[in-house]
Amino acid sequence: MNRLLKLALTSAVALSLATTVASASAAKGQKLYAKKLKKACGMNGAKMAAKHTQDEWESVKGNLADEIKKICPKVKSKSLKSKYLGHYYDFFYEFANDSGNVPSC
Amino acid sequence: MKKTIIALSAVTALATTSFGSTDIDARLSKMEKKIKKLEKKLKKSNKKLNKVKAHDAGDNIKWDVDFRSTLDNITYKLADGTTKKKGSLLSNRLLLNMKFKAEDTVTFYGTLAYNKLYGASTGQNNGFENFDWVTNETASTDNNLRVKEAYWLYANDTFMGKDISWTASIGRRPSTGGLGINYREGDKRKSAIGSTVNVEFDGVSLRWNIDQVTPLPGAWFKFCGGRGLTNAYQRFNDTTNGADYSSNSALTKDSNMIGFIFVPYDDGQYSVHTNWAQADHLIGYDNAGLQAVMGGNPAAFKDVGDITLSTVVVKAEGIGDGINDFLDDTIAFVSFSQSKTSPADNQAMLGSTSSKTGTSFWIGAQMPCPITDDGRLGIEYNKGSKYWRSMTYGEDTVVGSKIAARGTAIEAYWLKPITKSLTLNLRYTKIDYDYTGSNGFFGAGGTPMSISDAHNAGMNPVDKATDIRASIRYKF
Repeated sequence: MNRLLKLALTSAVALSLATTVASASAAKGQKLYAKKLKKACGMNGAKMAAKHTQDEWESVKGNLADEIKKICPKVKSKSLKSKYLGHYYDFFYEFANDSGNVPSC
Repeated sequence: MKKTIIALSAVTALATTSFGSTDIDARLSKMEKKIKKLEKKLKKSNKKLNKVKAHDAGDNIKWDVDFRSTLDNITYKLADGTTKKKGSLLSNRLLLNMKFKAEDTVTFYGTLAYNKLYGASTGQNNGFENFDWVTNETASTDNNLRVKEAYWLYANDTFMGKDISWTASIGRRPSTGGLGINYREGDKRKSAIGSTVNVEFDGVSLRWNIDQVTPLPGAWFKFCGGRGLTNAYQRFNDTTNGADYSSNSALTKDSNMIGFIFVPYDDGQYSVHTNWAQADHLIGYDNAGLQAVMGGNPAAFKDVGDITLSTVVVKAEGIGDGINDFLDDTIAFVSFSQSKTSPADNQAMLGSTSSKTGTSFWIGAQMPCPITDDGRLGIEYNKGSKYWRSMTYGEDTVVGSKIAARGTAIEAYWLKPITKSLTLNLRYTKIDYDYTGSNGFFGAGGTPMSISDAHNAGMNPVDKATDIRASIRYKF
Protein backbone atom coordinates (compact mmCIF):
# COMPACT_ATOMS: atom_id res chain seq x y z
CA MET A 1 0.00 0.00 0.00
CA ASN A 2 1.57 3.34 -0.91
CA ARG A 3 2.35 6.06 1.62
CA LEU A 4 -0.49 8.35 0.63
CA LEU A 5 -3.04 5.58 1.05
CA LYS A 6 -1.59 4.62 4.42
CA LEU A 7 -1.80 8.23 5.50
CA ALA A 8 -5.39 8.53 4.33
CA LEU A 9 -6.34 5.34 6.12
CA THR A 10 -4.61 6.34 9.35
CA SER A 11 -6.37 9.73 9.24
CA ALA A 12 -9.74 8.06 8.73
CA VAL A 13 -9.15 5.74 11.69
CA ALA A 14 -7.92 8.62 13.87
CA LEU A 15 -10.92 10.74 12.90
CA SER A 16 -13.34 7.96 13.67
CA LEU A 17 -11.71 7.27 17.06
CA ALA A 18 -11.97 10.93 17.93
CA THR A 19 -15.72 11.05 17.38
CA THR A 20 -18.62 9.42 19.13
CA VAL A 21 -21.90 9.29 17.29
CA ALA A 22 -25.03 8.84 19.35
CA SER A 23 -26.03 5.29 18.55
CA ALA A 24 -28.67 4.92 15.87
CA SER A 25 -31.52 5.03 18.36
CA ALA A 26 -34.33 4.57 15.85
CA ALA A 27 -32.77 1.31 14.69
CA LYS A 28 -32.07 0.31 18.28
CA GLY A 29 -35.58 1.31 19.23
CA GLN A 30 -37.02 -0.86 16.48
CA LYS A 31 -35.04 -3.85 17.73
CA LEU A 32 -36.01 -3.17 21.34
CA TYR A 33 -39.64 -2.86 20.35
CA ALA A 34 -39.51 -6.27 18.65
CA LYS A 35 -37.91 -7.78 21.75
CA LYS A 36 -39.75 -6.09 24.57
CA LEU A 37 -43.05 -4.68 23.36
CA LYS A 38 -44.27 -6.36 20.19
CA LYS A 39 -45.89 -9.33 21.89
CA ALA A 40 -47.61 -7.22 24.54
CA CYS A 41 -48.77 -4.62 22.04
CA GLY A 42 -49.98 -7.21 19.53
CA MET A 43 -48.80 -5.18 16.55
CA ASN A 44 -45.61 -4.62 14.62
CA GLY A 45 -43.41 -1.59 15.14
CA ALA A 46 -44.64 0.22 12.04
CA LYS A 47 -48.23 0.10 13.26
CA MET A 48 -47.23 1.22 16.72
CA ALA A 49 -45.19 4.17 15.46
CA ALA A 50 -48.05 5.18 13.19
CA LYS A 51 -50.39 5.57 16.17
CA HIS A 52 -49.30 9.22 16.39
CA THR A 53 -47.91 12.06 14.36
CA GLN A 54 -44.44 13.32 15.16
CA ASP A 55 -45.91 16.26 17.07
CA GLU A 56 -48.06 13.92 19.12
CA TRP A 57 -45.12 11.69 20.01
CA GLU A 58 -43.21 14.81 20.98
CA SER A 59 -45.98 15.92 23.25
CA VAL A 60 -46.00 12.59 25.15
CA LYS A 61 -42.22 12.23 25.24
CA GLY A 62 -42.12 13.14 28.93
CA ASN A 63 -44.72 10.48 29.75
CA LEU A 64 -43.79 7.93 27.15
CA ALA A 65 -44.05 4.97 29.51
CA ASP A 66 -47.63 5.94 30.37
CA GLU A 67 -48.51 6.43 26.72
CA ILE A 68 -47.15 3.00 25.83
CA LYS A 69 -49.14 1.47 28.69
CA LYS A 70 -52.23 3.25 27.41
CA ILE A 71 -51.79 1.75 23.92
CA CYS A 72 -50.54 -1.63 25.16
CA PRO A 73 -52.21 -2.38 28.52
CA LYS A 74 -50.53 -5.81 28.70
CA VAL A 75 -47.00 -4.43 28.62
CA LYS A 76 -44.80 -5.35 31.59
CA SER A 77 -43.06 -2.67 33.63
CA LYS A 78 -39.64 -4.20 33.05
CA SER A 79 -40.09 -3.51 29.34
CA LEU A 80 -40.44 0.19 30.15
CA LYS A 81 -37.09 0.74 31.85
CA SER A 82 -35.90 4.31 31.51
CA LYS A 83 -32.85 3.22 29.50
CA TYR A 84 -35.17 1.88 26.80
CA LEU A 85 -37.53 4.84 26.55
CA GLY A 86 -35.21 7.12 24.58
CA HIS A 87 -34.74 4.44 21.94
CA TYR A 88 -38.47 3.68 21.78
CA TYR A 89 -39.16 7.37 21.34
CA ASP A 90 -36.60 7.78 18.56
CA PHE A 91 -38.13 4.83 16.70
CA PHE A 92 -41.72 6.02 17.12
CA TYR A 93 -40.82 9.57 16.11
CA GLU A 94 -38.86 8.45 13.05
CA PHE A 95 -41.73 6.35 11.76
CA ALA A 96 -44.70 8.40 12.96
CA ASN A 97 -47.64 8.54 10.59
CA ASP A 98 -46.60 11.89 9.15
CA SER A 99 -42.88 11.19 8.90
CA GLY A 100 -42.96 9.84 5.36
CA ASN A 101 -40.57 7.08 6.46
CA VAL A 102 -41.32 3.43 5.93
CA PRO A 103 -39.64 0.97 8.30
CA SER A 104 -38.30 -2.14 6.65
CA CYS A 105 -40.56 -5.14 7.08
CA MET B 1 -80.21 59.82 54.07
CA LYS B 2 -78.85 61.64 51.02
CA LYS B 3 -75.37 61.49 52.49
CA THR B 4 -75.79 57.80 53.22
CA ILE B 5 -76.96 57.10 49.70
CA ILE B 6 -74.08 59.13 48.25
CA ALA B 7 -71.62 57.41 50.54
CA LEU B 8 -73.03 54.00 49.73
CA SER B 9 -73.00 54.80 46.01
CA ALA B 10 -69.40 55.95 46.19
CA VAL B 11 -68.37 52.77 48.00
CA THR B 12 -70.23 50.64 45.44
CA ALA B 13 -68.65 52.53 42.54
CA LEU B 14 -65.19 52.10 44.04
CA ALA B 15 -65.73 48.38 44.68
CA THR B 16 -67.00 47.80 41.15
CA THR B 17 -64.04 49.57 39.61
CA SER B 18 -61.57 47.55 41.71
CA PHE B 19 -63.32 44.29 40.91
CA GLY B 20 -63.33 45.14 37.14
CA SER B 21 -59.59 45.89 36.96
CA THR B 22 -58.72 42.61 38.76
CA ASP B 23 -60.80 40.75 36.25
CA ILE B 24 -59.12 42.50 33.34
CA ASP B 25 -55.68 41.85 34.81
CA ALA B 26 -56.45 38.18 35.18
CA ARG B 27 -57.69 38.00 31.64
CA LEU B 28 -54.71 39.95 30.36
CA SER B 29 -52.36 37.64 32.22
CA LYS B 30 -54.15 34.63 30.73
CA MET B 31 -53.87 36.11 27.25
CA GLU B 32 -50.18 36.83 27.77
CA LYS B 33 -49.60 33.20 28.73
CA LYS B 34 -51.51 32.06 25.64
CA ILE B 35 -49.52 34.40 23.42
CA LYS B 36 -46.25 33.08 24.90
CA LYS B 37 -47.42 29.54 24.21
CA LEU B 38 -48.37 30.44 20.64
CA GLU B 39 -45.03 32.15 20.11
CA LYS B 40 -43.27 29.01 21.28
CA LYS B 41 -45.34 26.88 18.91
CA LEU B 42 -44.65 29.25 16.04
CA LYS B 43 -40.91 29.08 16.75
CA LYS B 44 -41.10 25.30 16.67
CA SER B 45 -43.07 25.32 13.42
CA ASN B 46 -40.60 27.69 11.80
CA LYS B 47 -37.74 25.44 12.89
CA LYS B 48 -39.49 22.45 11.30
CA LEU B 49 -40.23 24.42 8.17
CA ASN B 50 -36.61 25.43 7.88
CA LYS B 51 -35.59 21.79 8.21
CA VAL B 52 -37.98 20.88 5.41
CA LYS B 53 -36.67 23.75 3.27
CA ALA B 54 -33.07 22.68 3.87
CA HIS B 55 -33.99 19.10 3.06
CA ASP B 56 -35.78 19.93 -0.18
CA ALA B 57 -33.87 22.98 -1.37
CA GLY B 58 -32.09 22.09 -4.60
CA ASP B 59 -34.38 19.09 -4.99
CA ASN B 60 -35.14 19.93 -8.57
CA ILE B 61 -36.65 16.72 -9.86
CA LYS B 62 -40.01 15.19 -9.05
CA TRP B 63 -39.91 11.43 -9.46
CA ASP B 64 -42.59 8.93 -10.12
CA VAL B 65 -42.26 5.22 -10.66
CA ASP B 66 -43.85 3.02 -13.27
CA PHE B 67 -42.92 -0.62 -12.66
CA ARG B 68 -44.42 -3.48 -14.67
CA SER B 69 -43.94 -7.25 -14.55
CA THR B 70 -45.10 -9.14 -17.63
CA LEU B 71 -45.77 -12.70 -18.65
CA ASP B 72 -46.06 -13.32 -22.40
CA ASN B 73 -47.05 -16.55 -24.06
CA ILE B 74 -45.78 -16.41 -27.64
CA THR B 75 -46.51 -18.57 -30.66
CA TYR B 76 -45.24 -18.06 -34.17
CA LYS B 77 -46.62 -20.21 -36.98
CA LEU B 78 -44.14 -20.37 -39.79
CA ALA B 79 -44.84 -20.72 -43.49
CA ASP B 80 -43.85 -24.38 -43.48
CA GLY B 81 -46.45 -25.09 -40.82
CA THR B 82 -44.05 -25.45 -37.91
CA THR B 83 -44.36 -23.29 -34.83
CA LYS B 84 -41.88 -21.47 -32.65
CA LYS B 85 -42.97 -20.72 -29.15
CA LYS B 86 -42.16 -19.35 -25.79
CA GLY B 87 -44.59 -20.58 -23.18
CA SER B 88 -43.69 -18.10 -20.48
CA LEU B 89 -41.60 -15.07 -21.30
CA LEU B 90 -41.11 -13.13 -18.07
CA SER B 91 -39.84 -9.58 -17.99
CA ASN B 92 -39.69 -6.52 -15.73
CA ARG B 93 -39.88 -2.97 -16.98
CA LEU B 94 -39.04 -0.01 -14.79
CA LEU B 95 -39.68 3.59 -15.83
CA LEU B 96 -38.41 6.31 -13.56
CA ASN B 97 -40.20 9.43 -14.72
CA MET B 98 -38.73 12.79 -13.91
CA LYS B 99 -40.17 16.22 -14.25
CA PHE B 100 -39.64 19.65 -12.85
CA LYS B 101 -41.03 23.09 -13.64
CA ALA B 102 -38.00 25.30 -13.21
CA GLU B 103 -39.92 28.44 -14.12
CA ASP B 104 -43.28 29.43 -15.62
CA THR B 105 -42.17 28.91 -19.16
CA VAL B 106 -39.70 26.05 -18.78
CA THR B 107 -40.30 22.46 -17.70
CA PHE B 108 -37.99 19.46 -17.80
CA TYR B 109 -39.23 15.92 -18.56
CA GLY B 110 -37.22 12.72 -18.65
CA THR B 111 -37.47 8.99 -18.22
CA LEU B 112 -34.88 6.45 -17.16
CA ALA B 113 -35.84 2.99 -18.29
CA TYR B 114 -34.96 -0.62 -17.76
CA ASN B 115 -36.61 -3.48 -19.58
CA LYS B 116 -35.21 -6.91 -18.90
CA LEU B 117 -36.07 -10.55 -19.29
CA TYR B 118 -35.89 -12.51 -16.08
CA GLY B 119 -32.47 -13.78 -15.18
CA ALA B 120 -29.43 -14.07 -17.42
CA SER B 121 -29.52 -15.36 -20.97
CA THR B 122 -28.88 -19.06 -21.43
CA GLY B 123 -26.87 -18.09 -24.50
CA GLN B 124 -24.31 -16.01 -22.63
CA ASN B 125 -20.88 -17.59 -22.89
CA ASN B 126 -18.51 -14.81 -21.87
CA GLY B 127 -18.44 -11.52 -20.00
CA PHE B 128 -19.46 -13.29 -16.80
CA GLU B 129 -18.41 -10.31 -14.73
CA ASN B 130 -21.77 -8.82 -15.73
CA PHE B 131 -23.70 -12.05 -15.36
CA ASP B 132 -27.18 -11.13 -14.21
CA TRP B 133 -26.83 -12.76 -10.80
CA VAL B 134 -23.86 -10.61 -9.81
CA THR B 135 -24.06 -7.57 -12.06
CA ASN B 136 -24.29 -5.02 -9.23
CA GLU B 137 -21.84 -6.78 -6.94
CA THR B 138 -19.08 -6.70 -9.56
CA ALA B 139 -16.73 -3.75 -9.46
CA SER B 140 -15.99 -3.22 -13.15
CA THR B 141 -14.50 -0.59 -15.38
CA ASP B 142 -17.69 0.61 -17.03
CA ASN B 143 -19.88 3.48 -15.84
CA ASN B 144 -23.23 1.81 -16.49
CA LEU B 145 -26.02 2.15 -13.98
CA ARG B 146 -27.94 -1.06 -13.48
CA VAL B 147 -31.03 -2.04 -11.59
CA LYS B 148 -30.26 -4.02 -8.47
CA GLU B 149 -33.76 -4.20 -7.01
CA ALA B 150 -37.17 -3.07 -8.20
CA TYR B 151 -40.39 -4.49 -6.83
CA TRP B 152 -43.72 -3.54 -5.41
CA LEU B 153 -44.98 -4.92 -2.10
CA TYR B 154 -48.65 -5.38 -1.30
CA ALA B 155 -49.48 -5.74 2.40
CA ASN B 156 -52.74 -6.66 4.07
CA ASP B 157 -53.66 -7.34 7.69
CA THR B 158 -56.01 -10.26 7.07
CA PHE B 159 -55.89 -13.27 4.77
CA MET B 160 -59.17 -14.90 3.80
CA GLY B 161 -60.79 -13.40 6.86
CA LYS B 162 -58.15 -14.75 9.27
CA ASP B 163 -55.86 -12.71 11.49
CA ILE B 164 -52.90 -13.44 9.21
CA SER B 165 -51.08 -10.40 7.89
CA TRP B 166 -49.51 -11.11 4.53
CA THR B 167 -47.53 -9.58 1.72
CA ALA B 168 -47.09 -10.25 -1.99
CA SER B 169 -44.37 -8.91 -4.22
CA ILE B 170 -43.10 -9.24 -7.78
CA GLY B 171 -39.98 -7.85 -9.35
CA ARG B 172 -36.23 -7.89 -9.03
CA ARG B 173 -35.88 -9.25 -5.56
CA PRO B 174 -33.93 -8.07 -2.51
CA SER B 175 -32.07 -11.39 -2.67
CA THR B 176 -28.56 -10.20 -1.81
CA GLY B 177 -27.36 -9.06 1.61
CA GLY B 178 -29.54 -11.58 3.42
CA LEU B 179 -29.51 -12.89 6.97
CA GLY B 180 -26.03 -13.44 8.36
CA ILE B 181 -24.03 -11.71 5.64
CA ASN B 182 -25.64 -8.34 6.50
CA TYR B 183 -23.95 -7.89 9.88
CA ARG B 184 -20.44 -7.21 8.59
CA GLU B 185 -21.84 -4.30 6.56
CA GLY B 186 -23.86 -2.87 9.43
CA ASP B 187 -26.97 -3.37 7.30
CA LYS B 188 -30.44 -4.63 8.05
CA ARG B 189 -30.99 -8.05 6.54
CA LYS B 190 -32.70 -8.44 3.23
CA SER B 191 -34.99 -11.26 2.17
CA ALA B 192 -32.75 -14.29 1.59
CA ILE B 193 -30.68 -16.30 4.04
CA GLY B 194 -27.06 -15.54 3.24
CA SER B 195 -25.74 -19.02 4.01
CA THR B 196 -27.20 -20.45 0.81
CA VAL B 197 -28.57 -17.69 -1.41
CA ASN B 198 -26.90 -14.40 -2.23
CA VAL B 199 -27.55 -13.53 -5.89
CA GLU B 200 -29.67 -11.01 -7.74
CA PHE B 201 -32.86 -12.63 -8.88
CA ASP B 202 -36.08 -11.83 -10.70
CA GLY B 203 -39.16 -13.37 -9.18
CA VAL B 204 -42.03 -13.32 -6.75
CA SER B 205 -42.55 -13.75 -3.03
CA LEU B 206 -45.55 -14.29 -0.78
CA ARG B 207 -45.32 -14.11 2.97
CA TRP B 208 -47.80 -15.02 5.69
CA ASN B 209 -47.29 -14.03 9.33
CA ILE B 210 -48.85 -16.92 11.22
CA ASP B 211 -48.00 -16.01 14.82
CA GLN B 212 -51.54 -14.86 15.60
CA VAL B 213 -53.12 -18.14 14.48
CA THR B 214 -50.51 -20.62 15.74
CA PRO B 215 -48.79 -21.06 19.11
CA LEU B 216 -45.47 -20.23 17.43
CA PRO B 217 -44.17 -16.82 18.61
CA GLY B 218 -43.25 -14.55 15.72
CA ALA B 219 -43.67 -17.33 13.14
CA TRP B 220 -43.91 -16.64 9.43
CA PHE B 221 -43.74 -18.50 6.15
CA LYS B 222 -42.55 -17.11 2.84
CA PHE B 223 -42.75 -18.67 -0.61
CA CYS B 224 -40.24 -17.43 -3.18
CA GLY B 225 -39.85 -18.28 -6.82
CA GLY B 226 -38.29 -16.89 -9.92
CA ARG B 227 -36.25 -17.39 -13.01
CA GLY B 228 -32.47 -17.27 -13.06
CA LEU B 229 -31.96 -18.02 -16.75
CA THR B 230 -34.19 -17.22 -19.72
CA ASN B 231 -34.05 -19.12 -22.99
CA ALA B 232 -35.35 -16.79 -25.70
CA TYR B 233 -34.14 -15.31 -28.95
CA GLN B 234 -33.34 -11.70 -28.20
CA ARG B 235 -34.91 -9.10 -30.45
CA PHE B 236 -33.81 -9.41 -34.08
CA ASN B 237 -31.63 -12.41 -33.21
CA ASP B 238 -33.68 -15.15 -34.85
CA THR B 239 -32.18 -14.48 -38.24
CA THR B 240 -33.78 -17.65 -39.65
CA ASN B 241 -37.42 -16.99 -38.89
CA GLY B 242 -37.64 -13.58 -37.19
CA ALA B 243 -39.49 -15.21 -34.28
CA ASP B 244 -38.31 -12.79 -31.59
CA TYR B 245 -38.40 -14.04 -28.00
CA SER B 246 -39.40 -17.59 -28.96
CA SER B 247 -37.45 -20.44 -27.36
CA ASN B 248 -34.12 -21.30 -28.90
CA SER B 249 -33.74 -25.08 -29.08
CA ALA B 250 -29.96 -24.72 -29.43
CA LEU B 251 -29.69 -23.34 -25.90
CA THR B 252 -30.39 -24.76 -22.44
CA LYS B 253 -33.85 -24.42 -20.96
CA ASP B 254 -35.12 -21.73 -18.62
CA SER B 255 -33.70 -22.21 -15.14
CA ASN B 256 -36.24 -21.61 -12.40
CA MET B 257 -35.88 -21.58 -8.65
CA ILE B 258 -38.55 -22.11 -6.00
CA GLY B 259 -38.21 -22.22 -2.28
CA PHE B 260 -39.54 -21.21 1.06
CA ILE B 261 -38.33 -19.55 4.20
CA PHE B 262 -39.97 -20.69 7.41
CA VAL B 263 -39.35 -19.01 10.75
CA PRO B 264 -40.94 -21.22 13.40
CA TYR B 265 -39.82 -19.08 16.33
CA ASP B 266 -38.93 -15.43 16.83
CA ASP B 267 -39.45 -13.75 20.19
CA GLY B 268 -37.61 -10.62 19.10
CA GLN B 269 -34.38 -11.81 20.73
CA TYR B 270 -33.94 -15.48 19.86
CA SER B 271 -35.08 -16.80 16.49
CA VAL B 272 -34.80 -19.81 14.20
CA HIS B 273 -34.79 -19.41 10.42
CA THR B 274 -35.02 -22.21 7.86
CA ASN B 275 -34.82 -22.17 4.09
CA TRP B 276 -35.30 -24.78 1.40
CA ALA B 277 -34.83 -24.02 -2.30
CA GLN B 278 -34.53 -25.93 -5.53
CA ALA B 279 -33.14 -24.68 -8.84
CA ASP B 280 -33.50 -26.62 -12.10
CA HIS B 281 -31.71 -26.76 -15.46
CA LEU B 282 -28.53 -25.30 -14.05
CA ILE B 283 -25.69 -24.66 -16.44
CA GLY B 284 -22.09 -25.68 -16.68
CA TYR B 285 -19.46 -26.80 -19.14
CA ASP B 286 -18.79 -30.44 -19.81
CA ASN B 287 -15.13 -31.49 -19.88
CA ALA B 288 -14.68 -30.64 -23.57
CA GLY B 289 -16.30 -27.26 -23.09
CA LEU B 290 -14.14 -26.48 -20.09
CA GLN B 291 -11.00 -27.36 -22.03
CA ALA B 292 -12.11 -25.09 -24.87
CA VAL B 293 -12.83 -22.18 -22.54
CA MET B 294 -9.54 -22.63 -20.70
CA GLY B 295 -7.88 -22.48 -24.12
CA GLY B 296 -9.55 -19.13 -24.80
CA ASN B 297 -12.25 -20.50 -27.11
CA PRO B 298 -16.01 -20.13 -26.65
CA ALA B 299 -18.07 -23.13 -25.64
CA ALA B 300 -21.76 -23.77 -25.11
CA PHE B 301 -23.20 -24.37 -21.68
CA LYS B 302 -24.97 -27.67 -20.99
CA ASP B 303 -28.01 -28.20 -18.84
CA VAL B 304 -26.25 -30.28 -16.18
CA GLY B 305 -29.07 -30.78 -13.66
CA ASP B 306 -30.78 -29.46 -10.55
CA ILE B 307 -29.69 -28.50 -7.06
CA THR B 308 -31.44 -28.44 -3.70
CA LEU B 309 -30.26 -26.10 -0.97
CA SER B 310 -31.32 -26.10 2.64
CA THR B 311 -30.23 -24.22 5.72
CA VAL B 312 -31.10 -23.54 9.34
CA VAL B 313 -29.92 -20.47 11.24
CA VAL B 314 -30.26 -19.83 14.95
CA LYS B 315 -29.78 -16.21 15.95
CA ALA B 316 -29.60 -14.22 19.17
CA GLU B 317 -29.98 -10.44 19.18
CA GLY B 318 -28.74 -9.86 22.70
CA ILE B 319 -27.65 -12.65 25.00
CA GLY B 320 -29.50 -13.18 28.25
CA ASP B 321 -31.85 -10.66 29.77
CA GLY B 322 -30.08 -7.71 31.33
CA ILE B 323 -26.96 -9.63 32.45
CA ASN B 324 -24.91 -6.66 31.34
CA ASP B 325 -24.90 -4.05 28.59
CA PHE B 326 -22.23 -5.87 26.60
CA LEU B 327 -24.25 -9.05 26.26
CA ASP B 328 -27.45 -7.11 25.73
CA ASP B 329 -25.83 -5.55 22.71
CA THR B 330 -24.17 -8.66 21.26
CA ILE B 331 -25.52 -10.49 18.21
CA ALA B 332 -24.60 -14.13 17.60
CA PHE B 333 -25.66 -16.66 15.00
CA VAL B 334 -24.88 -20.18 13.89
CA SER B 335 -25.92 -21.85 10.67
CA PHE B 336 -25.81 -25.30 9.14
CA SER B 337 -26.45 -25.76 5.41
CA GLN B 338 -26.62 -28.52 2.84
CA SER B 339 -26.48 -28.66 -0.94
CA LYS B 340 -27.48 -31.71 -3.00
CA THR B 341 -27.05 -32.11 -6.76
CA SER B 342 -29.31 -34.08 -9.14
CA PRO B 343 -27.37 -34.47 -12.37
CA ALA B 344 -29.33 -34.57 -15.61
CA ASP B 345 -29.25 -37.72 -17.76
CA ASN B 346 -25.80 -38.21 -19.28
CA GLN B 347 -24.49 -35.10 -17.56
CA ALA B 348 -22.09 -34.53 -14.70
CA MET B 349 -22.59 -31.94 -11.98
CA LEU B 350 -19.56 -30.78 -10.05
CA GLY B 351 -17.58 -33.42 -11.92
CA SER B 352 -19.82 -36.37 -10.99
CA THR B 353 -22.71 -38.16 -12.67
CA SER B 354 -24.11 -39.19 -9.32
CA SER B 355 -25.82 -37.00 -6.78
CA LYS B 356 -23.40 -35.32 -4.40
CA THR B 357 -24.11 -33.73 -1.04
CA GLY B 358 -22.11 -30.90 0.42
CA THR B 359 -22.36 -29.18 3.80
CA SER B 360 -21.34 -25.90 5.36
CA PHE B 361 -21.12 -24.59 8.90
CA TRP B 362 -21.05 -20.85 9.73
CA ILE B 363 -20.81 -19.08 13.03
CA GLY B 364 -20.51 -15.38 13.80
CA ALA B 365 -20.82 -12.74 16.47
CA GLN B 366 -20.94 -8.96 16.52
CA MET B 367 -20.38 -7.10 19.76
CA PRO B 368 -19.82 -3.60 21.12
CA CYS B 369 -16.27 -2.38 20.52
CA PRO B 370 -14.49 -2.23 23.91
CA ILE B 371 -12.40 0.84 23.04
CA THR B 372 -15.10 3.08 21.57
CA ASP B 373 -18.66 3.90 22.62
CA ASP B 374 -20.26 3.45 19.23
CA GLY B 375 -18.05 0.98 17.31
CA ARG B 376 -18.90 -2.66 16.62
CA LEU B 377 -16.51 -5.63 16.37
CA GLY B 378 -17.35 -8.79 14.49
CA ILE B 379 -15.82 -12.22 13.96
CA GLU B 380 -17.02 -15.04 11.69
CA TYR B 381 -15.91 -18.52 10.75
CA ASN B 382 -17.27 -20.88 8.12
CA LYS B 383 -16.25 -24.24 6.73
CA GLY B 384 -17.50 -25.96 3.59
CA SER B 385 -17.07 -29.58 2.54
CA LYS B 386 -15.77 -31.05 -0.72
CA TYR B 387 -19.03 -30.91 -2.66
CA TRP B 388 -20.46 -27.82 -0.99
CA ARG B 389 -22.13 -25.60 -3.56
CA SER B 390 -23.94 -22.46 -2.46
CA MET B 391 -25.68 -19.90 -4.66
CA THR B 392 -23.73 -16.98 -3.19
CA TYR B 393 -21.95 -15.56 -6.23
CA GLY B 394 -23.32 -12.12 -5.38
CA GLU B 395 -21.56 -11.92 -2.01
CA ASP B 396 -19.62 -8.69 -1.68
CA THR B 397 -16.20 -10.25 -1.14
CA VAL B 398 -13.79 -9.36 -3.91
CA VAL B 399 -11.67 -12.51 -3.50
CA GLY B 400 -14.73 -14.71 -4.00
CA SER B 401 -17.66 -15.71 -1.82
CA LYS B 402 -16.30 -16.84 1.53
CA ILE B 403 -19.58 -18.69 2.17
CA ALA B 404 -19.00 -20.74 -0.99
CA ALA B 405 -15.54 -21.85 0.22
CA ARG B 406 -14.80 -25.55 0.06
CA GLY B 407 -12.41 -25.03 2.90
CA THR B 408 -12.21 -22.60 5.78
CA ALA B 409 -12.86 -18.89 5.95
CA ILE B 410 -12.28 -16.55 8.86
CA GLU B 411 -13.20 -12.92 9.06
CA ALA B 412 -12.86 -10.04 11.51
CA TYR B 413 -14.24 -6.55 11.07
CA TRP B 414 -14.68 -3.22 12.81
CA LEU B 415 -17.56 -0.86 12.08
CA LYS B 416 -17.11 2.65 13.40
CA PRO B 417 -19.49 5.56 12.76
CA ILE B 418 -17.60 8.77 12.00
CA THR B 419 -20.67 11.00 11.72
CA LYS B 420 -24.39 10.33 11.41
CA SER B 421 -23.94 9.59 7.73
CA LEU B 422 -20.36 8.32 7.45
CA THR B 423 -19.10 4.93 8.67
CA LEU B 424 -15.63 3.45 8.57
CA ASN B 425 -15.37 -0.31 8.00
CA LEU B 426 -12.11 -2.24 8.41
CA ARG B 427 -12.32 -5.92 7.50
CA TYR B 428 -9.94 -8.85 7.24
CA THR B 429 -11.06 -11.96 5.35
CA LYS B 430 -9.00 -15.08 4.81
CA ILE B 431 -10.10 -18.10 2.79
CA ASP B 432 -8.09 -21.32 2.90
CA TYR B 433 -9.31 -23.64 0.16
CA ASP B 434 -9.22 -27.40 0.60
CA TYR B 435 -10.69 -28.04 -2.86
CA THR B 436 -11.03 -26.27 -6.19
CA GLY B 437 -14.27 -25.13 -7.81
CA SER B 438 -15.78 -23.16 -4.92
CA ASN B 439 -17.15 -20.41 -7.14
CA GLY B 440 -17.44 -22.38 -10.40
CA PHE B 441 -20.59 -23.07 -12.37
CA PHE B 442 -22.38 -26.36 -11.95
CA GLY B 443 -20.61 -28.60 -14.48
CA ALA B 444 -16.99 -29.55 -14.85
CA GLY B 445 -15.87 -26.13 -13.68
CA GLY B 446 -17.24 -26.98 -10.24
CA THR B 447 -15.28 -30.23 -9.91
CA PRO B 448 -13.58 -30.43 -6.51
CA MET B 449 -9.94 -31.47 -6.61
CA SER B 450 -7.64 -31.09 -3.64
CA ILE B 451 -5.34 -28.13 -4.18
CA SER B 452 -2.29 -30.38 -4.24
CA ASP B 453 -3.89 -32.80 -6.76
CA ALA B 454 -4.84 -29.90 -9.01
CA HIS B 455 -1.33 -28.52 -8.76
CA ASN B 456 0.22 -31.88 -9.50
CA ALA B 457 -2.03 -32.14 -12.56
CA GLY B 458 -0.50 -28.99 -13.96
CA MET B 459 -3.16 -26.54 -12.78
CA ASN B 460 -2.50 -23.53 -10.59
CA PRO B 461 -5.67 -22.77 -8.64
CA VAL B 462 -6.00 -20.34 -5.73
CA ASP B 463 -4.90 -22.03 -2.49
CA LYS B 464 -5.46 -19.17 -0.05
CA ALA B 465 -7.05 -15.76 -0.55
CA THR B 466 -6.82 -12.76 1.73
CA ASP B 467 -8.69 -9.48 1.56
CA ILE B 468 -7.96 -6.56 3.85
CA ARG B 469 -10.62 -3.96 3.22
CA ALA B 470 -11.01 -0.40 4.40
CA SER B 471 -14.10 1.49 3.34
CA ILE B 472 -15.85 4.73 4.20
CA ARG B 473 -19.53 4.68 3.49
CA TYR B 474 -21.94 7.55 3.18
CA LYS B 475 -25.47 6.44 3.94
CA PHE B 476 -28.24 8.78 4.97
